[in-house]
Amino acid sequence: MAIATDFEIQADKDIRYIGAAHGASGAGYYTVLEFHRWLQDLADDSGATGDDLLDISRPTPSDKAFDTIITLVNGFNIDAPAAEHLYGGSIIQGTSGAEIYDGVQVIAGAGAHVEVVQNGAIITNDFWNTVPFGGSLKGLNSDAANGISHRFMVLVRTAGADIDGRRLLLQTREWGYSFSEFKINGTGRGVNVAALTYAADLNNATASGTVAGYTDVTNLTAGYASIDADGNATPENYYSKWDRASRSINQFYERMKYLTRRGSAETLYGLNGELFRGITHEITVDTPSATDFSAVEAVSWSGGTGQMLAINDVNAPTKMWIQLRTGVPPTDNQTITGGTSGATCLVNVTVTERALSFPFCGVSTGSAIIGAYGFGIEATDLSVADKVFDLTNTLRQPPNLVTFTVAGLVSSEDQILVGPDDGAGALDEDQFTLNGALTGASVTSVVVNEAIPTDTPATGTIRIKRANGAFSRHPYSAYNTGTKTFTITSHNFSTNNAANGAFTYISYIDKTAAATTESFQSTYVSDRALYVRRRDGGSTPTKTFETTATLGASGGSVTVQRLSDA
Amino acid sequence: MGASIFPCWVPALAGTVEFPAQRGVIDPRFLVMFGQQRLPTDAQGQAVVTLTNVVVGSRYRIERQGDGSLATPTGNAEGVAAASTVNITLDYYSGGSVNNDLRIKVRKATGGSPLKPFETLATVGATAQSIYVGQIED
Repeated sequence: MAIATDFEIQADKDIRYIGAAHGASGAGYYTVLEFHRWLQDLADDSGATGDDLLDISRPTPSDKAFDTIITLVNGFNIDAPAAEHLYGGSIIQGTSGAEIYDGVQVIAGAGAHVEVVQNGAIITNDFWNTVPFGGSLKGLNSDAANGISHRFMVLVRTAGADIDGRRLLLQTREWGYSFSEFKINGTGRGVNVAALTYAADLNNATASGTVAGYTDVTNLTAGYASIDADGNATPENYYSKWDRASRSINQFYERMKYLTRRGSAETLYGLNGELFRGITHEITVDTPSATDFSAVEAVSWSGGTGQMLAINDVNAPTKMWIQLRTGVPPTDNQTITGGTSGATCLVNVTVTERALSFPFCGVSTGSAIIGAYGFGIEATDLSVADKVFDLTNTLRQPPNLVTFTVAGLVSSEDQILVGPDDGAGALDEDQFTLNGALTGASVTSVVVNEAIPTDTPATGTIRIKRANGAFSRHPYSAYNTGTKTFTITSHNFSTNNAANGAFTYISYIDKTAAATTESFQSTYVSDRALYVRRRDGGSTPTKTFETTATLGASGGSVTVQRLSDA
Repeated sequence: MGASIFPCWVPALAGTVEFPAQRGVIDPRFLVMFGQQRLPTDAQGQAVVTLTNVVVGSRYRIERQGDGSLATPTGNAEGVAAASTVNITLDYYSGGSVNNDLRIKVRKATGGSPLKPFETLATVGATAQSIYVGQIED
């Protein structure tokens, strides 16, 4: 339809849209320049006609600063429904520009569903996502040839006050597609461009209804959580501790997207999933009040609000991690107040902005996850290909746990020994030498002279050469690479003791086969040469089988041979 | 234009002591003076207002500042410029009359390059005046 039939100009200077509704046949959309031209065209007429009460006898209705900045003057005005049919610039109106609609232009894949977050809430009237009449893709005023998916205006100033500093956050969170966001940190007059990613996510191909059932994926700790993700025995800190339960790492990734997708009814850290973004700022704090903070709660300060996702000590905090929701981040010595607890603390100089990931958990490769800043998953749910970043933004890579398997065994008959290879195809009996004789009646510590390899299994067995020349088997429950000490099950060495310097070695598998396969697991550091021996001298004796093998980055295996020795 | 009857022997009863600007014939036979005078809302004469530098095709309108009504004669106060100079004959009123305070609008938003609306204020009097119209591209 023509602009003249889509709008009317009332006697009181109200300019109102009277055309067809969004998505209906004939719905009209016009640039602000076209709108201005139309008004000016009427204003130079000798007399008003129809429902457009504007001619030369009436005051000038509009003024153009640029093609994209139109000011309605002398009391002429539009309302929100009329604004929905204008794009390509800003409309300023009211006394001293008391009301401003600013233009937004979205660069995204065709058909993107774009959400606009303003003042901490999603604008529910997302008319810009309408499918135009006769079209098949969402997006009003799109221009696919130029990569433009939407053009519209958003009310950013009303009653003489900017709405949250005219800040807008545009985001796409469509199931099956990449998530993205673009922050406009205070719109300007004219067209504000927002670039969003909207492409199929090949790692998000499962039906949402299926992922809705992944309820066994839970966040064990919402807030400050310690996890030893890199297996170095020193836990790092994160703001979550997710348990992926029976789900693969990619299924876990899809669950995270599901929780924060468009239309989510889930709550994360006190926020609706759609509004949850992750940590935006790390704040150094001091001077806490006597009242404790909650582990997770809304926080506020003069000039802004946020959601606290973690605090390193609810009683005496020195660090706080938040998602900024409105306004600007706090500055040095501003008071931060907990919305639930009422606790307070002061900003201690440093506020660090942290980069976000989309979705909030990080990126999936399909078989591994590259975690977002501070996003924690319990250590047992991580594999070597995963990467996570703790709250110091340090990359933590889980250890490469590899398995060595001996197959072809006969349960309860075969005795199996897997030990270090000496490099010459023989068992490396002198892998270690004792640092001090073992003579006590209740020995629990075995100190050796050589460094204990870091790929040594956390628990296992060692063999120690005794005075009679035999190697006795001793389970160990721990070892210390610093003191070169194995902690063994208490053993009486008062007789047939072990001399200082006696040979000792790790027996990685040292048992009677309890199944057709036996294995051990260790952290891969570098290739390790192993010596394998199987014997069965029972009622159906077999010849001794001996071989060497390598435990590599992908593990290793040996299948034993069984030759009759009858 | 108004008319008043002034009994010559009791001028105080006439309701006014103003001496009219125009007076009619005094006829003493009936002891009545008949006079005709202009009210403040009556034009005192006409003067030419010339708009110069007008873009041909522009619509102009000259209206009273007070109420936005067309200046008089209304037939002269609006039209479309056929040339860059437009001579407009308008009524003027006694000094101080709000009817002399005019708003001059010149608009052209169609046909060729659209122009920003031009508006200026002027006060007419007995002497002709010229108004330069500075229209700029919109």
